[in-house]
Amino acid sequence: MRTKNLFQIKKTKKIVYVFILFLFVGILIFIQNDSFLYQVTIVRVTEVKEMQTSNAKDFGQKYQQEITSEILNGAYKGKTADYINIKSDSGAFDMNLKPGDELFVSLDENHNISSVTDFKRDFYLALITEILILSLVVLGRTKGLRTLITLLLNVFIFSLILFLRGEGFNVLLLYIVASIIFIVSTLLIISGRNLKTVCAIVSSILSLSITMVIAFSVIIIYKQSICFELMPFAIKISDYQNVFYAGILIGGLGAIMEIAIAVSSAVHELMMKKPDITVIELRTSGANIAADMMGALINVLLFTFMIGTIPMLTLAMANDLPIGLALSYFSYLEIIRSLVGAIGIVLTVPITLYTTIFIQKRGGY
Amino acid sequence: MILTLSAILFVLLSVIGRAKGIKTFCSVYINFSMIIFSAILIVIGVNPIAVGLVFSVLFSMITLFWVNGYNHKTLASFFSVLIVLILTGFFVLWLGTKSNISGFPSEYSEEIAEADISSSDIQINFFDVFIAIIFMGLIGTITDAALDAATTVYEIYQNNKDMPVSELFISGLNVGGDILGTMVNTLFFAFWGTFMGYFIWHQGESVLKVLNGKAFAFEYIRIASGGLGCILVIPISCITTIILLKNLRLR
Repeated sequence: MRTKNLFQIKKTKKIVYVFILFLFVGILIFIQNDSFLYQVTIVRVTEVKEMQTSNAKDFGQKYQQEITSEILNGAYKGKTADYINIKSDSGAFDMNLKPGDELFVSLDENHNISSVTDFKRDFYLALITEILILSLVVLGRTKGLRTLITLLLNVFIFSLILFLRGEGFNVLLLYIVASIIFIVSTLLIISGRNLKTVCAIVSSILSLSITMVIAFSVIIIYKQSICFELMPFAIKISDYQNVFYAGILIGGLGAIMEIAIAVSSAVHELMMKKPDITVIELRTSGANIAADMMGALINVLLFTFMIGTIPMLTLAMANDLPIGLALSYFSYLEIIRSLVGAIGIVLTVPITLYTTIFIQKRGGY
Repeated sequence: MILTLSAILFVLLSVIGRAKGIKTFCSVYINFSMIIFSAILIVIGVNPIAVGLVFSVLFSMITLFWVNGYNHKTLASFFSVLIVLILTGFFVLWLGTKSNISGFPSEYSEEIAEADISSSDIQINFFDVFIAIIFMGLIGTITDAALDAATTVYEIYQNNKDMPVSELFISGLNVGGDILGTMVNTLFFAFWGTFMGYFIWHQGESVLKVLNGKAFAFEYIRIASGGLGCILVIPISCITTIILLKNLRLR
């Protein structure tokens, strides 16, 4: 009886796996052919003829690309459209068209392409997302699945915030409320309903608040010297200052939660193994465990924030902007983000240590 | 402002992390200078992908061998980082070429025009720059995850030296799941922290169009490859650690 049950479970599992695989492939095939969903005209490049137009020997060379393409949606579906594209070797602001590329275009009255707005990239984004989801669930098992659920939930909350901001709510306030929801929901889903989670939640919220108090006091002192307008996308955002603050608040949140849960599990583990452990012993082992993570996480934040500014830095310096100026234009705000995140990470360690010790001793373990 | 924040960070790190904290502080500033330096090298005319790769390897060597010391754990992490770099490297190259994510998105054009840096007659191939950046971002994430996984396997092995290899691997993976979950969240929140502006900018436009935008696609692929590398590096790091522990006696 038992073996039969096990066998059946295995069989249903197999069916589920096959079903999911089919679903994922199906989604990819659908996205590859989803041009009919778009309002804008989409073409697929079928042929590219390339000619050099300037003979300069350096990188300033320009090329002319004669494109033939097939219209994929709208009234002229199936017809061919031509376009002449200019590309340069540097590729900073122009497009390098290749057969198979799909483009968003506008057509003139002879249904030829008058301008190309952008590439259609959804297939590749869906592909990497699916690979990410699959490997997360296959390698991370239940934990991977839980992570996936928190991600979906967080995306939903973020979309809700975007919507509410459009309705006129203060974006910073929204994110302050949301960050508490993020902490509670993410930690609850990932590590379950237990005392460890409670400790992690309390310490994350405490750490985040203290970090923000420090960060905002520093920012307020130096407010005059910060150019918030230089934040990416600030040009079209009226409340960019608040958006920047909210970005700082959210940016380090993931790392803070990570440290909090790691330290609180470690302390919990130590106390279970040795109930009469002293606070000083706990402090030393806790700090040891956290020391490794701290450095690594600070670097993750530094990389995520700073690396993104390299294209702008190189473009600026290649166009003879002095490096100091380039840095203050394009990296200043990112450096502030990284530093605030780093301060948050470091602060979380002692805060979690003491909160966990306090709660665990009170909790009567 | 940056000085004040750095000073706060330094004080906190040295109080909480002691000697190791000060080392961490230095490594953060070394990494920061290396990021700036790599930008300078690219401007001088060195091939961006070569710069990206060399710096990635250097970054991970500093983090592993200097900050954490030369031992089984860090050696195994280093090998697994190299393996993952190669594995994801080809995928990223393919994805980057097919999805045309290189070049500056239109959202930046006003900033670029304002700073008067809009000439494209420069000796830099920006496709290579964008690919190099994906590599550099990747390494920052996976070095951390690799070391975490290696440490776990190492600790389990030290406590129970007769444990069979398969069990060792599975317990490594189990803990790996934890690392993964939180790492993916860290990346996700960091991404949103910088990128919510993009969605606010495009609010009210068609969602499909916004999701296809170059700025979003590039940033998303950059972060997603970081996540993917992280997922791959955990089992690989478990395996390399086990192999090294079983076959190599260091010190």
